[in-house]
Amino acid sequence: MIAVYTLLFPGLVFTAFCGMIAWWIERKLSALFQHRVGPPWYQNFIDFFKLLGKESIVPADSAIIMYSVAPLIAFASVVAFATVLGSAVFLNIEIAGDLILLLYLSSLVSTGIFLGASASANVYAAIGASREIKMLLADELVFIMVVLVPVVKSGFSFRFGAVLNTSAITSFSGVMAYILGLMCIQAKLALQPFDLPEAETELAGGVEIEYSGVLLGIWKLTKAMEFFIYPLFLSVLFFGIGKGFVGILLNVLFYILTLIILIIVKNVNPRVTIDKMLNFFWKVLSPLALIALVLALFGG
Amino acid sequence: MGVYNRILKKSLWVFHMSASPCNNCDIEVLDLLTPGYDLERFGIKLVGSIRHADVLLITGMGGCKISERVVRLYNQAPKPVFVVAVGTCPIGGATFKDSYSRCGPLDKLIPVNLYIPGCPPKPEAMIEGLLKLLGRLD
Repeated sequence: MIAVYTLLFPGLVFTAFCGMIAWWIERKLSALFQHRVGPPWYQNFIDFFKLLGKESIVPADSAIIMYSVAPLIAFASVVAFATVLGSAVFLNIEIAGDLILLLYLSSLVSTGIFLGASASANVYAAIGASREIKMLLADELVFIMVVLVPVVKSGFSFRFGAVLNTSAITSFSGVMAYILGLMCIQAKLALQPFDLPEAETELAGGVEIEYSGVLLGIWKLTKAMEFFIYPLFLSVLFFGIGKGFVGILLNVLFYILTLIILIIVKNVNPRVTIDKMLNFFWKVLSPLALIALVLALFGG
Repeated sequence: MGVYNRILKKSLWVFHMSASPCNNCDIEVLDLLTPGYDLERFGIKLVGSIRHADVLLITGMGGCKISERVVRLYNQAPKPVFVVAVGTCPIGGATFKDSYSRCGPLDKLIPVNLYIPGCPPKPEAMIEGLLKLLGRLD
């Protein structure tokens, strides 16, 4: 059964499909923001299958083993994240301490990206790798404090099932933590204004600059799956799982709202520099997250 | 290769390279990405790294210094890759045809799949050229 969960339903295939669609929504909405037509809905699938047929080049100077293994580390972490999250959300299966496991897996994705970029023996990739790890250090603290707010609201339970039964967004501290969580997700997905590691125009693709063919396809698939699971994680964490048809409909609407807010923020903001990003997360968002957590502890 | 070509023609990622141009063609190439023309609806996207590219789009007359880099970039690209030469310069050199620093024409250096002549070609002409390249993939 575990193989089916991992490969088929809440895991690989389902999440990859939904992720490609979520990424298409991002591309299409960005196009509409710029008064363009935008790509057709199957564009991301076509891109992925095209990359599978291209030549995969391994640069001669790179650390060859790490260069080929790093995308698989990131991909495997994302699949594990999707399986654990999806089992809790769709199938009501939970493991002890799965919230902590999810936090760990989400930072393992960034570690995989960092390893792959530093193994590519490219200056731009190295800059991207350094920025990726700095961003991880910046957003991880805020993200953990944000996740702790629903945990406090659900009576100090690290089981995902208990968190899903309470709706933290109804309280003031919940709303505050949700907004902070949106910014962390923005940084984790590397969308503008926090797309520093990829920075198409500045670092020419940054962390994935040397990757081609199948390995690049795995990076793109990882990114597409992140597009589905991070907003889903945030939306179910704060909204909980509704009962009955209306409840599930509200859940879907709240997920789409989360995704659309991320896309709107992406389209109206330019890229910030790394020092501004670190200052923003350490000096502004961390105290706010702490305040939200304290408020939640006092029942606000 | 029939099925793969059908996939490939819906998702061409373009790497834009300037081989000693007068910048006129480059401005027209950038026009292609503006909302007025919007190449993303055909799945065509400008990428920053040659490793991601399916199309190597080259403008300019091919100066001697840059021509080594053109060959190097072509070798670095993951195959299959298509070379598109934009403007009159890669074909005949246009106003630079007697220049001492010219090592063109482009097809002396690398095989070219498609020429889009013009000085500069209009964005409409470039779209038509790219669609011809797509048609050739059938």
